[in-house]
Amino acid sequence: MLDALLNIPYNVYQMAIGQFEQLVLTAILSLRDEAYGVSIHSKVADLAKPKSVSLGAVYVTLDRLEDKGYLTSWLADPTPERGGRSKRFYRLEALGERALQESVATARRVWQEVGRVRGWLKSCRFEL
Amino acid sequence: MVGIFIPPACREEVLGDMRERNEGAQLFIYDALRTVPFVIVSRIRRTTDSVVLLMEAFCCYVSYLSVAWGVAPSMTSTREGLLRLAIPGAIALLVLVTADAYANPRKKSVLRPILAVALAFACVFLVHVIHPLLPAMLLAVGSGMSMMLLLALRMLFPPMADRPQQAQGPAFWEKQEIVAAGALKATAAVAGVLLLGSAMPDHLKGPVLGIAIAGVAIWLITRRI
Repeated sequence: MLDALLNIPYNVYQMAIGQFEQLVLTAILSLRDEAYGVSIHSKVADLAKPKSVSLGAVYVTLDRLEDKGYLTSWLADPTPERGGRSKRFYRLEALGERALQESVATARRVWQEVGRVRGWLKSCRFEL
Repeated sequence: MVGIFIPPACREEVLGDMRERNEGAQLFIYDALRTVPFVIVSRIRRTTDSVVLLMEAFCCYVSYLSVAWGVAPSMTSTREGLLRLAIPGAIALLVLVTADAYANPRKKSVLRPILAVALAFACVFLVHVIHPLLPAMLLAVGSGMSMMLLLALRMLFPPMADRPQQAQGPAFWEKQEIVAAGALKATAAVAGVLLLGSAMPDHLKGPVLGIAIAGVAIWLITRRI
């Protein structure tokens, strides 16, 4: 449906996203209009706990996701608290939302399978 | 000072973010040391088209090799000689890749491809002055040929930052694509193993070949599973 609307060839393998990409997309989705480098990094750090996340890794992932067409970005006006430097804001695109949905659906299927096996194991009096 | 090392395309937001996160100079520098290398690598990845880079490497090497056949045929008959022929091209491509990453996308110029290639070979000659790379005649003629070929390639396939991008299309669609990427990777892997194997002492060749074959077999089996 989306492919037909955007008139773009859709490759399933290119849509697959990694766990870190999933975290960054989720952070941008939840931050809405306030998604820029620092805020995305702190949100991703929250989501990734107890793992620590570097700002550089977030930049690399943002660039990659933008290249894939999952995000768009724009520079805002400079602000004094940043030494007169601008913020680059990010917005989730339709392709990114779809990739995130697929990723969540996969995670849900995995969780259901784990739950099913866990239930079976419990019925056999095994501990996971 | 830190701003000099950050590619101009992302300097504004990266410096601003680091300023917002860190109050003191020490924290700022520590954060910059952790962040800036990632930013540079990411920018290089965005501005480099691997297929075009491969074509450029091929053009450079073939230029020096063809000149060496005429000017210094002895170099083409030894392994060391053939490897030395790759050094000027490698330096030129390193400079070109860095120049593309540090190019300012807001300042477009038709002279940029020419200037980037000229800068790359200026660096080659600078290194040659410090530490001679090849015989002078071979380097001069080979570099001239390489420059012409690289300029032609760069006019056909401009750097990623200079290419027009579709309004709705992801940027990586603009990159060249190898149809049989798997076959190319396999060929490159075999070529790499053969190159390493040929440079190895005779007594090590047997064990290393055995380990390599075992590794490939394990990889194939696990891939099937």
